[in-house]
Amino acid sequence: MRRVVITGAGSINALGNGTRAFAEALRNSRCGIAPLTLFDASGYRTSCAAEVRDLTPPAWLKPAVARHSSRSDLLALIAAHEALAQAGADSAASGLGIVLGTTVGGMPGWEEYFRQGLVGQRRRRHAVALTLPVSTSVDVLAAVFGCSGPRLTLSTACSSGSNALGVAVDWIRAERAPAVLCGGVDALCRMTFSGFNALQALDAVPCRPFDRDRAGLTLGEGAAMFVLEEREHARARGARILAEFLGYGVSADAHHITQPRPDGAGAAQALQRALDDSRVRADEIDYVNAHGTATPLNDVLETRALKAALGARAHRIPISSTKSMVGHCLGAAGAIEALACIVALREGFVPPTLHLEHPDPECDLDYVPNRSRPHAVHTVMSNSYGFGGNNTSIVLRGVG
Amino acid sequence: MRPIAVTGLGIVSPIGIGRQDFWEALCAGRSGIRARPNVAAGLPRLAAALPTFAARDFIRSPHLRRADPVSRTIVAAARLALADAQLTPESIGPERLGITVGSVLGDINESVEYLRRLFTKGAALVSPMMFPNLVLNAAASYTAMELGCTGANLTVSQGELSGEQAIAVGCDLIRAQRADVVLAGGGDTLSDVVTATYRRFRALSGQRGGTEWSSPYDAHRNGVVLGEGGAMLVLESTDAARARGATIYAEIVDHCSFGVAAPPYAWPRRAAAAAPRLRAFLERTLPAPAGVDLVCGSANSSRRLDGCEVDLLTRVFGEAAAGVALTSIKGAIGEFGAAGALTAVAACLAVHHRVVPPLCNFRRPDDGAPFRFAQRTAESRRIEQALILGIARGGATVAMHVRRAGE
Repeated sequence: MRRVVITGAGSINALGNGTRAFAEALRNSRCGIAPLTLFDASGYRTSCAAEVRDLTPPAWLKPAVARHSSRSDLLALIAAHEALAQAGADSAASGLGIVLGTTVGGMPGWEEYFRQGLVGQRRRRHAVALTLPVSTSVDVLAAVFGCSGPRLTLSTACSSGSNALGVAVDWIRAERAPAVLCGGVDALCRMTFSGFNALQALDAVPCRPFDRDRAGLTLGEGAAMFVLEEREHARARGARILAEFLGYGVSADAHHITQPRPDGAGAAQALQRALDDSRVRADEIDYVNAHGTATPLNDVLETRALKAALGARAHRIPISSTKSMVGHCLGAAGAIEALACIVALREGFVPPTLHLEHPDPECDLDYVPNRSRPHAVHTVMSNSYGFGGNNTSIVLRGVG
Repeated sequence: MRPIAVTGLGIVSPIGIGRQDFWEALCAGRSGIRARPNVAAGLPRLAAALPTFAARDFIRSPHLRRADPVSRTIVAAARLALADAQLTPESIGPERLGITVGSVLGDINESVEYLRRLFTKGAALVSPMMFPNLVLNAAASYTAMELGCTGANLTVSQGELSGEQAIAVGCDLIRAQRADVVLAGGGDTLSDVVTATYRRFRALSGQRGGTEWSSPYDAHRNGVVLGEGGAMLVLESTDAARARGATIYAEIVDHCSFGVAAPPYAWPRRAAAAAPRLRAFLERTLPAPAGVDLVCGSANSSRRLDGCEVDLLTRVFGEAAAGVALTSIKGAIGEFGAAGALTAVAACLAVHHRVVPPLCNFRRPDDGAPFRFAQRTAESRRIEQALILGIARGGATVAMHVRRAGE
């Protein structure tokens, strides 16, 4: 089996622009959640959101492209630019593939365009209508970076980002591309904010994963992008390897369109499949970046799934939800959390779960409450669970 | 690359529900394109809409009530495909049955209605029942719930290649042993907002003069007619299909996917960059370089896409082009994001029945186009190897090599 390594990473989210800012925020246990400014939050249960402030087109982006880019496009472009620069890969030369996970695509701009139409506004930017499909961002990335390899968009709700990484791994193993630019992106928009609000899934205060009093999630936005490549390909060109991508597992709950299976069987199946695909034993896992949305149901079922798949090991290792800092970034979440795993592998600490004050008897594992913790880890997992019962787990390993 | 057997076909299309009705209508040259009622004067009126079908025959009541029309289409196509393959989730093992669905916009009409309520009535009055259907993976999730299958479940999107890409990902799931059987395909729906966008950019037939119609590859083609529908294919390893004595409609030998330079929102102007990529794929996957008997393209009656496809294929096949039959089914079903899933069905049935599906409204090709274009009636022909070709706005390109299953 061909081995897959990560040679570049890029990030933008509420904690800052760039992987350095993200890593420092995780180490300093900083929270990126603040009152929403992108649109009027009156009428909603909360104004809490993990928003990317002052998002502007980067200087290197051609003005003609910047003018047509959606908010999602911009986030993805910024993260991809950093990942490609770090990897030192020539995006145009090598048939670089692209896989992106996203759920809303150009919806943030399109819903405003639609609203303007509803109120009969005369002058509208009709080009916005073209940015609606979720696959638009991949085409924009391919055009800007000159990528000539395969492209695909994954949209499996909140597991989109993890599945995008998984498909990239399969492409490299099957020799469909020597290297793949992959990750996840989503931007905040009224459709998702109002939807989670209507489902009573938003906490009024910053989300409290695994806390007894948790009452739902906090939405966020951002992007994380990676360059994945075949290990020998990376070695041959002298690239610096950030981590090895050992494998992933995916399952469906086949249970309910919004609610996860309460027994966690689907989530446990994804964990087990990820271990099998990675040829890793449960007792080799040193840290888990949890899905940890802070909904009452998720955190209990995820705890059950971790115990089912990892056995006694689940009680001995740190597990944390970085959504308490960066919010739930939906299609970007899996990719952002993969980056948190890489930070843990490389920097010798595990990120915390913030706002965890009152332990829940049903959530009785070590969730690294409130402060990051110095801790060397070698093999880590990240979980992502989406609407419709889409479960994905990934396994990464440090190098050296 | 291990070939993948196609053993079941489920279709919900403007020209028929189910494999048999679809194929009969296609071979009879029937088009699902009709004038839509209540269209304002001066605007394009044609579209290929789905006939009403009994969704309750395919989807159980708690889901039937909640599922959006696109999800119902895909669940129905999945059930039809499994029945056609003479498989059940239990016979496969529900944890080994995967699902891959391709869609561009999911049920965009639901999203529009949701936003209309949000912006006119306020956040407090939007229905929590509507929101779950707005995620693109709703259809794949309803299918898993309906069939009780817990295997890999992925929803993909890549513009007009969403259907082909879902099938490609499905084949790879089996090759990577992530599933034994995969239901793969896709669906999309007609909607006023998509029609408005095509109209705004003057891409619909009749908007730049001439009669409103859909005539892929025809010299007088003048724009797109939109459609809707869905199809799901049962994919499994050839060994497994043979072992259980299944009818193998066709084998998917391999696929390739690449990008050529294009503006993100338009089809490429030129095919020169794609030609060496496609040629290299065919050299890798085909027994003989001139071995392709039939190409099922994605031509949708637009000036640019159809011309780009013929240009690409001419560059790739050279002098052999005269022996290659070329067809597209968009004149029958219209253009929509996941139409490629139906094109794939047509290609499988074409190699199975050894019949070239006709080109609706075709009279004569562009000057100098060297192919043996399908005619307006079906033609029996010795077909061993077929190529499914798709080019999306933005320059993404997919080719899939399909062959007749060995006796």
